[in-house]
Amino acid sequence: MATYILRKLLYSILILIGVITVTFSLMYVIPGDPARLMLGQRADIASIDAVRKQLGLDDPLYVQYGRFMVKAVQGDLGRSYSSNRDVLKTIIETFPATALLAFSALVLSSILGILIGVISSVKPYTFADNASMLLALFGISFPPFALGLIMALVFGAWLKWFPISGYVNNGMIYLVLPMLTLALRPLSIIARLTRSSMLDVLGQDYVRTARAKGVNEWKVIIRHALRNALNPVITTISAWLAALLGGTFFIEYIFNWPGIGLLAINSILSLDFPMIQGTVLFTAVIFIIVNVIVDVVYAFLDPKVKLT
Amino acid sequence: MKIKFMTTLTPLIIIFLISFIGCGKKSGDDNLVELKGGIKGGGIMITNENENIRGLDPVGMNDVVSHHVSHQLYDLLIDLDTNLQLKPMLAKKWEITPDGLTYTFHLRNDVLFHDNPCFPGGKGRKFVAEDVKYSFTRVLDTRTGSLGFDFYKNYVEGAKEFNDEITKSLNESREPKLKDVSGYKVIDDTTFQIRLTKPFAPFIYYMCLGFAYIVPKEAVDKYGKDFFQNPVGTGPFVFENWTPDLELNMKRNPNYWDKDVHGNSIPYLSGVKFRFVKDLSQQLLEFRNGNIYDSYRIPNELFKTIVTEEKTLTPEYSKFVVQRKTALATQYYGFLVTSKTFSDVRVRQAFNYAVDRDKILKYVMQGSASDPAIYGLVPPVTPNYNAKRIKGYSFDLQKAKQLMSDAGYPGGEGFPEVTLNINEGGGRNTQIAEAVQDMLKEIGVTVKLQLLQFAQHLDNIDAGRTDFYRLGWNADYPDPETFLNLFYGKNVPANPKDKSPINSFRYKNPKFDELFEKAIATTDIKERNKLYEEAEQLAVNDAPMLFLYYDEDWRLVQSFVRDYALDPMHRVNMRFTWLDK
Repeated sequence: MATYILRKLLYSILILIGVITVTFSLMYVIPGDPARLMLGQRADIASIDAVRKQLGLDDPLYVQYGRFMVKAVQGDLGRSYSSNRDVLKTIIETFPATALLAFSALVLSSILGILIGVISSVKPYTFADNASMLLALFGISFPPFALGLIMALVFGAWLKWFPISGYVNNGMIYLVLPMLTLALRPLSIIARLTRSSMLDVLGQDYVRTARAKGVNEWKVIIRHALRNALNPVITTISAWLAALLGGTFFIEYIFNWPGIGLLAINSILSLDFPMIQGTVLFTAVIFIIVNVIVDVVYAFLDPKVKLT
Repeated sequence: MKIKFMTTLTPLIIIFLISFIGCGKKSGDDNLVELKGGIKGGGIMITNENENIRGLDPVGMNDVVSHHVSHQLYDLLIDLDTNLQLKPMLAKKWEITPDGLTYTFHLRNDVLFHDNPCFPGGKGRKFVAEDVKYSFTRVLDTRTGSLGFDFYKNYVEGAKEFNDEITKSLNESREPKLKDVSGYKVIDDTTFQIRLTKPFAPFIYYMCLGFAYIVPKEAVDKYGKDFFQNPVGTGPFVFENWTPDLELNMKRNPNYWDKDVHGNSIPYLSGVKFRFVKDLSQQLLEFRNGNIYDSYRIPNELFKTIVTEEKTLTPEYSKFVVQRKTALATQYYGFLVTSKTFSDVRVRQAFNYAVDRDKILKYVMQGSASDPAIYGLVPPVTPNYNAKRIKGYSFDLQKAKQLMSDAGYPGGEGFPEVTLNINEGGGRNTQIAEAVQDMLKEIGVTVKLQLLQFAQHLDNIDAGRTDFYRLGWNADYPDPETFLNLFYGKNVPANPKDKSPINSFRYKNPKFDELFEKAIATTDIKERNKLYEEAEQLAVNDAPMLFLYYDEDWRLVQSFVRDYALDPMHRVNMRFTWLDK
């Protein structure tokens, strides 16, 4: 097991180096001069050169890359070009907002998804089952950013039930629309997966035996069927955790939610290289950590997983 | 056992959603008190900015949004009123010697910095002339992250040497050997003097730039590189907290030095909340829901549903107040005059005559712009400047055709296809470009449009990689120099391969340069403006750009917001703003 974990970690470091290299290279392929953007249209060449010097942008690319790598290892991701804030500190300050959104969406989608999946599987091919599976199909197919806009329009602008932009420091109500928007897709997937997994399990001999023994139907469903049907569902939920933590970009932008996604989009718009690199790197780290944990836990739980 | 799907699930969802309703803080729960003159004190003004702020350290303040926020936290020596005329702030009065070289500022002696842990006992100390010297010297020090050094270093005595030594020391990786900037002189606690190397009349407006806010040394020393998020000033509001991308809060400074005409202490508001909703439509929704008190800029696609042809509000929006002001900003398409396509002045003039600006304003801008740019680059709203004396270009198709013919392109025959580069964003850029594309067809010119991201667009323009491009110019200060500097030949590099960021047209006219240099050295404002006019007429005749229109700023405001004026430079000042709820 130790070798397995070590190998996973080694792969992760290689992936991280790859991510840093690709992000770094992309930054310098993008046309445009951050110094020019910072100084504005009035700036003369001498001033632009002075700011480029100040930012270290006049050094050869390999020097800049080496400097970035060395500093990144030391936990120094530099300072933002556009706000002068310490990149790592800003990301760490911003992360709780993204985590809150991702976790709440995941909890909501897990609870409701499993509930809908179980009910659908218990009453298969009824109106309720067909309706919920149709809704799930819609949830899987509909792009979250479009859904976000529609939610903002309907529940924010027309019905005025929920605010369309802001953060929970002004009340938990601000969480509703972004959370629902973000939750719909995993909810749909979890519901469908739970349903199919439950249908599979409910047809097994041991479930029939339990029923034949006269066990209460709730107990059959929860204790005998659901417990066994949840394995693939839990794997999916774990995978979604990483996806949600790194995939809230558009939702955060639409609802002005001050998380990593909004920070990343604003950095891209203002060519804020250190912040772009920082947010990409951080998201990659989160992805990798969550995936390594999931892999390791899965290996523990399921002996069928090969450790070699 | 029956499991009822709908009866189990539906209440759960409803309970879940209802549990959130009512969890929000209601905006606008203000406790207002009656003050003298029928004014109400208290309340939080909630405003919005469409972009993030760069920071709150004046040395890095060259963006509009940071300036909006900072103007409530800091004071300048001199400010501009809503008509863009100079008015005293921390300097009660000032004198400029007739040679235009020495500026003497007489400072207030009743001003305190905000209470802050950086001061002994946390009590803000008195503002003195030494603070001005410290603040202005910081701007010249690139180690502070200054973006304003280029404004001052070429004019203030000793500033260039100071700035150059820092640059040199950075190159040589050593500590700089710094001497005081000789042009910044503290005479006594309430008198500060600036000496210039050469007369530069617009310099007085440099005192109104964001870089010129006064900061205390103690705060910069205490917070170091984080001063930009721990601002301490003498302004009417005291910084509380800032969550980037979300909001910034400030509270009333109870020790602010200024009073209104009734003797009330200002500011009236108990605080200000800046929110940062970037999308204009979303901002408008929040405004309509009462969550913000003003909405600057009206989204293009909604303009007609909000504003009538008479420029009043439609019934749906009539409960709000609309403010509009011609901005000190001009939109244009630049020509690279050194390019083969646009080297002939007749071609450039023909383009100018071929565009029907009135049609663009009416049908594309739908009334949201101010006026067609028929008086050249400097907008007529510029104070003390008679822009209407400038003879620019009005729509005249026959003249345009004739000029093309004179240039050797009758009916556009033989004229190459041109590419108009426009940047994405900026509202109506594409629609305007399409309208111009159609209009230029009338003189036989085929225009291809190319849409680029702004950074790339700017890079291409600077490097001379495009010969026809969209840009706009917003005044840094209300002096024609800020506009006419774009035509100044000495801003063009000698090597055509070098970038030319200011005069991107690479336009050179020695006569213009002579008049421009004479104007900026002239302290007498009437004489100066006369010289500017002569210079501008020369440049307009040479048509280094296709003049499009003068901008207009629009803002919707909640009906209970008072004394919250919109000025032509969109400066934000909440010193006298109050809420009549």
